[in-house]
Amino acid sequence: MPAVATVRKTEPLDELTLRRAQRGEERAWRALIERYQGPVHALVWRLLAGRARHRVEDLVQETFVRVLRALPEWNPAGSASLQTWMLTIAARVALNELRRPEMAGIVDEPAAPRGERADASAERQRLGAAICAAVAALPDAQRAVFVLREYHELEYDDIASALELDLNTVKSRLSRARSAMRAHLEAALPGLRDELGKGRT
Amino acid sequence: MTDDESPIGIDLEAWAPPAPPRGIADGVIARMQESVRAAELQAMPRSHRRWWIAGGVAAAAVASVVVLGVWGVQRAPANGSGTVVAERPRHLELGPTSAELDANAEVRWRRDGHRLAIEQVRGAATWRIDDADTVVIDAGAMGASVEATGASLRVEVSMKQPEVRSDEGVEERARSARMIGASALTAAAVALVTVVVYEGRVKVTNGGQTIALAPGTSYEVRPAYAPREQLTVGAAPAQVSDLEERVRILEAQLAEQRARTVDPAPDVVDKTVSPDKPAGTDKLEGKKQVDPFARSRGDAVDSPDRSEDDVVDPFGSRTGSRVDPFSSPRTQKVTCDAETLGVQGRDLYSAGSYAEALVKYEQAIRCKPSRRLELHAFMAACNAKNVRKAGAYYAKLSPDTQQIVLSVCVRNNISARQLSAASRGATGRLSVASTPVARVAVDGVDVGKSPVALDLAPGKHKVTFTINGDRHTFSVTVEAGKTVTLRKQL
Repeated sequence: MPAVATVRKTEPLDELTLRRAQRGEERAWRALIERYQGPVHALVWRLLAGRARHRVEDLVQETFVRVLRALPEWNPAGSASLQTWMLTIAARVALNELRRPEMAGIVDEPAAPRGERADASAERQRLGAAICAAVAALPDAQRAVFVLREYHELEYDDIASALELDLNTVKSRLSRARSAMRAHLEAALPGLRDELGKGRT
Repeated sequence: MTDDESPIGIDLEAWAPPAPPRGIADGVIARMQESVRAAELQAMPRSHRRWWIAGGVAAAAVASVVVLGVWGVQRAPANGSGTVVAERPRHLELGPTSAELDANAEVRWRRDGHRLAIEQVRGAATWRIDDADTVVIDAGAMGASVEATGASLRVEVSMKQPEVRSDEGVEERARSARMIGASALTAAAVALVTVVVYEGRVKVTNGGQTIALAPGTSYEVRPAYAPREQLTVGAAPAQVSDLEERVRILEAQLAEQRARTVDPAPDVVDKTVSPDKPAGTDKLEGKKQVDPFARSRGDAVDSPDRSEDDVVDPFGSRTGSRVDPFSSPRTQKVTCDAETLGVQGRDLYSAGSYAEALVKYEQAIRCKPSRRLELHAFMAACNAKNVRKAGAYYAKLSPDTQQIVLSVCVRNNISARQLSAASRGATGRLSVASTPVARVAVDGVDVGKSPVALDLAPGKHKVTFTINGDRHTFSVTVEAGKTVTLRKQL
């Protein structure tokens, strides 16, 4: 079993299109959104794991609206890549949503594995459902750090910047999140204990 | 705690998100536009208040109705339709695409997603078409359409009533009508459409033919009268040749008919006319010399090759002499043979020697001017790409004839605007565009927002863009009869 999630990096937008988007050309906006909607959508979807998935599309749109409004001021020569900057905004949008009082107590029904087949596909579905449940069980602060690091490969500095935390807090939250994930997955998937043990060696 | 702690050791990709839903980009762009509209909406009440103060209670009541109507049109939902009649210059916003309407412009629009169908019934408008929109402008219901995406252009529609002379015989009308279908003599008003492209690429379709216009170019669409025999821009050579021949025949017949009607039996015409006497007064004083078109044509443009030494001055404005171009040949005391010169010109024209043909036609005109020869000279000048002479002869053609034969010059990349400028001989066209939009001043005079186009005296001019208080000044040289484009990224 692979050790970590395989993150597919999105090809960066060409400079000309980026400049046009910064100038407010709609065609360039469209190109930018279509290029980065995959990772942004994935991040928001994961951060809202088990919590109001119906809000994902709206929040993705909200992310891009903020991106486009701030884009003229964004400096391509800055330290963060465009994708990292967008994911930062997406993470803040999603966390703000999770902090809304009316979001408390909203829990989506976990997706049940289809059928009872014991083949590889069914096994993978069970694993996916277990990960989903484990992520959903993380506190919001830990979940954001975990998802940004494990799924989107943001550097600790970028996570710290995105979530307005200091570096050590990022590291400690990530450590706690990983521990909680292991515990949750071991409990949910008894046969997984041996696999996890191998993965740690 | 170490930051190189190993991950949790399972395939996290087993928890994979679904693909993003379709339409995210559409939704985001709609929200962006919505926020712009909301910002504009907040600014509306201030202008309302100004109307109240300026116009008083009664005027304000009327103005409110108008403004509310306009508001409804401007801020229609993404899909919708409407009609706008601009009683004064005004801004029209149709989603991401907008227009600056001149006074008296009338526009009907229908939006279906990113496709915007415009019927520009009359008047002039400068369009700024968004990259995401495809705008099709049907101008003046004349069968031609303008299609543009991501462009700035100006469309001018003027309705033209073809000249109908009351002294034309019924038989002549019928014969003319048979020759060119519905005929200029009986046609209702037709739309003359001018398209000026500032930015982007624009396609003009007329009669099944489509041409692409590049930035800085202008184009005049003048439909033919017969619905099934429209003179198309960029028509096949055979079509043009056929139409040219028809025009030649018709012009000759018209000239003959007019000459008979005005002066049915001239015996002898004295070609020498006093410079002090205005054209058309000789007959009242007992002389035979009459120019039946002296007033109706308003000919006042000098011949391109006029010389003080010429025996006959075809246009006579400098010497004051005026010759009846349609009087019977037997009444002319001439030593040259206009007919032979005309035939030589025609042969050279047919052989493609347009410049030489123009020389022959001009010699024939000096010998014995006629509208037919002027028409031939115009066509030769167009094909020879001689803008100055084409403009001079174009000004001498009747408006109806101008409409029909303009395409000869257009096919040679000479626009109606160039012809007009050349006939005036005093101005050039300056087209100014900028990104983003800015206030434009030429030689210190505010001429509006970019893009803007205007006729200027030849020579150097200073163009100043003002945006957010910053001024950017550029120098540009305008040449008579030409269009120069200044496009800047500010």
